[in-house]
Amino acid sequence: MPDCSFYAISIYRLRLAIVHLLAIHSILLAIHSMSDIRKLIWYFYKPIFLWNLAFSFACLWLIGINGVKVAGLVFFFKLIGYASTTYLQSYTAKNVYMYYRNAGYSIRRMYAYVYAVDIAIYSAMLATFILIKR
Amino acid sequence: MKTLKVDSVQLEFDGRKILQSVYLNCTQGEVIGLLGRNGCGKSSLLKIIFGTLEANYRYVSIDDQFIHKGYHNNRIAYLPQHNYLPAGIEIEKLAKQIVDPQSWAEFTALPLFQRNAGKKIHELSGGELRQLETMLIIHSRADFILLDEPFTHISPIQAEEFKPVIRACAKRKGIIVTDHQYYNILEVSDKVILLADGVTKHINDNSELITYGYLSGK
Repeated sequence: MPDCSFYAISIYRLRLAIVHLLAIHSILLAIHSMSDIRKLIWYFYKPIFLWNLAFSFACLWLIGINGVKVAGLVFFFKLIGYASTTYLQSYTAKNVYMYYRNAGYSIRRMYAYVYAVDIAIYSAMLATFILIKR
Repeated sequence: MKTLKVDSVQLEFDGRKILQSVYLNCTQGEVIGLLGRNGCGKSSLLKIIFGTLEANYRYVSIDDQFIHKGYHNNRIAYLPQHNYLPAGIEIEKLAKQIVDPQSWAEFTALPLFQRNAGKKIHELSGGELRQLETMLIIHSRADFILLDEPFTHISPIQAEEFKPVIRACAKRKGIIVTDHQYYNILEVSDKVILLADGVTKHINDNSELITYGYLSGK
């Protein structure tokens, strides 16, 4: 008879796979419909990359301490990271928003793409972390 | 030739009416000069057309097709008063995302670009950066270009160099330009519109600028 943690891990893996697929789907859509978007995503992502990476490592550290069962809960910490990024950017780098608009993209869309990429990177890091821990 | 129409724009801040009866249209091949005193709403009007400022009411269309956000799909480009290029990326890489591929040869032939192509924005002087940002917008993919104070923060000789570029660009695009250096606007524009008391007044003769109190006439 499998215990509760077995079900928790299975549900977590299923969630992880869905998030992964959604992220990859949105990236592929973006790449397919707009030729310049990959570079624009990188330009937009570059100044916030380290900040979000720090949140990713903090999440992995929390999972390392408390176990995989808290991965869902820890993801809220990652969301706090996104909220703080958006808030900081809108205060310190609002001027450059015009660059992306003049390239034809709304800022909301740029954030959606960048966070989708970040979630994909976080998911890959998490999957690697779980595999190593086994 | 596409036509940009702006009609019935109403904008209020804290109950104060900034814009209340604005009408203008701009066809590709035309330069529209927009004049007005400080705080009359020139920049606000450009932002409303571009889609970054919500008006109480506005109708903006291209070829009678209503557009919600002017910047979507590169229909309209806008030069803001502030610097807008991201830091830490080479000028050439930034330019490739904005400049129309058809205008790339023309853009890269500019001495300003050739001097600075491999540099990042912190390596440019304030005047050079402003010039470069203006040139990027002028050579962008958009059908219509909005220039908010392109002659400010640059030297008179640089302003002289800009005018033929704006005129050449206007052969393919529609341009709306505003600046406090009214003599530059009068020189470069096909039509002049004065924004006063929230209302657009189409100027047929420069003496009307005195009549409406924009110029002193002395």
